[in-house]
Amino acid sequence: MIRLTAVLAAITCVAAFALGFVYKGTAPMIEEQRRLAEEEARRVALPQAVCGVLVPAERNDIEYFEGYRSPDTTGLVGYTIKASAKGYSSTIEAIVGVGLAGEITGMKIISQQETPGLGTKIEEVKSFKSVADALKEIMGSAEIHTLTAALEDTGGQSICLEVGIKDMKSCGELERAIAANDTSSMVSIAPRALMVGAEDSVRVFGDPAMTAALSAAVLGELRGEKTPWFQFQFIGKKYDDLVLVRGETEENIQGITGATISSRAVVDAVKDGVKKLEKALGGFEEE
Amino acid sequence: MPAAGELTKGIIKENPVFRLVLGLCPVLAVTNSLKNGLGMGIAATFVLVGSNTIISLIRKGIPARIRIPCYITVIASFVTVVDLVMAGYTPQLHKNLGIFIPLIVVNCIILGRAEAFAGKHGVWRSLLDGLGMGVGFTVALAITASLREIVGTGKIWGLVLLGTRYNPVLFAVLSPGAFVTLGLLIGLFNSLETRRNR
Repeated sequence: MIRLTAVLAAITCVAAFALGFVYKGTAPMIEEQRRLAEEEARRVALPQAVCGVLVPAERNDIEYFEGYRSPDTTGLVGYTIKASAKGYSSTIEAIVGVGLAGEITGMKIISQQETPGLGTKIEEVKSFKSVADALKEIMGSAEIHTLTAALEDTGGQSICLEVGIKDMKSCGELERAIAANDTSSMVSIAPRALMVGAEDSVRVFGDPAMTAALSAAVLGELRGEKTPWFQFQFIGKKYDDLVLVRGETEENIQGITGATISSRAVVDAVKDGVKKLEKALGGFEEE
Repeated sequence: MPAAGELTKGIIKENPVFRLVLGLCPVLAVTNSLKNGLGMGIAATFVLVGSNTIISLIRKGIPARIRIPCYITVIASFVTVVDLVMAGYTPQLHKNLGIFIPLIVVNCIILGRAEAFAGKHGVWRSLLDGLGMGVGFTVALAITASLREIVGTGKIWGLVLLGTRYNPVLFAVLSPGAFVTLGLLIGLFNSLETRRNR
């Protein structure tokens, strides 16, 4: 019996030592990836600040980010905060975006280990629709057939040039994401890229009203289709609206069938974020 | 069997997925795109090669009564290495594969090769066996994933293959599509084997 124990102990000790060594080597990289994911999540949660900056802030011992419309920190548009709640089999962490009046502007789950096929539906997107698909669906008129054809030829890669994105960084990122079929990056980059390009695309279409409508439609379509449907329900709602209900609802949050605990955890995480932010700011602005 | 035979047997003759019908959980779950399929295949191959080699090296010092816990410890260690490296260097793939990376620990191909081969053979042959089985597993994942991605999206590795006029069959990239595709491929491999034997 002693020999059996000794052999097993020796193997586990060697394994633990080796894993410690690997962990030490990979930890900085994992931490960096996490930082990048959080940075991206903040931009998804507060799309109004995509062209501006997000500045870290702290009040009443609560850390959060302030989002500004311009890079020179003018035009405060809202805040983002990290929030969490205990789910069915993990702690769900999310970045929550909150507007000046306390309304939720967006959210992105950054960490969860819920049950595959059930709890993981909190991150399930509505469809496999790509940026190009969304554009093609919206664009039906003869005037923009040229653009549609260009999109078809390139599988959507001409989107940046045709729509006229001003922000070249977003343009490059979006092109790479489309080329790599990296859906999750497309989801986070496309709204930013399209928002930035909204004004400049006038010269492509020659009709400001049509351009504005197109940009808004694409943005809305992408956010609706590509933001996980469960998380999309939170946008525009306030703290008191965050009530989990069964069946379809406009006013509250529809729970996921078979994953009530995970659904409730997301609601609790968002409420936790809004509450913390309210405490930090001493209340939100009146509408 | 010559050493080269140990390497090649896992690719077609004893392909773990199409011939031995082992390790089907990840085959069904992660083959909705070629990128995911190849990622899982490479991860499993690394674990197979590493665990086969180490188990073969220490096999004479492991008492028979505790061989399974010892094998699992070795396999789990390699899986943890894969998990950490993927999380650090390929975060998107790590996210896509999700729970199926830790689940490599209980992939029956890996424990099966440790028990049936590495525990009874030398290091060199065990390494070749692990590599051959890993390549066979990767090939199976790549074939299944390619078919599903092409039929389900009209693309492969994100590149448009069937043109924009093609109407994708979404069914292929959903769960039932995995069962149907795998069933058809196993049938095809069986039919080819039967024909070859005749």
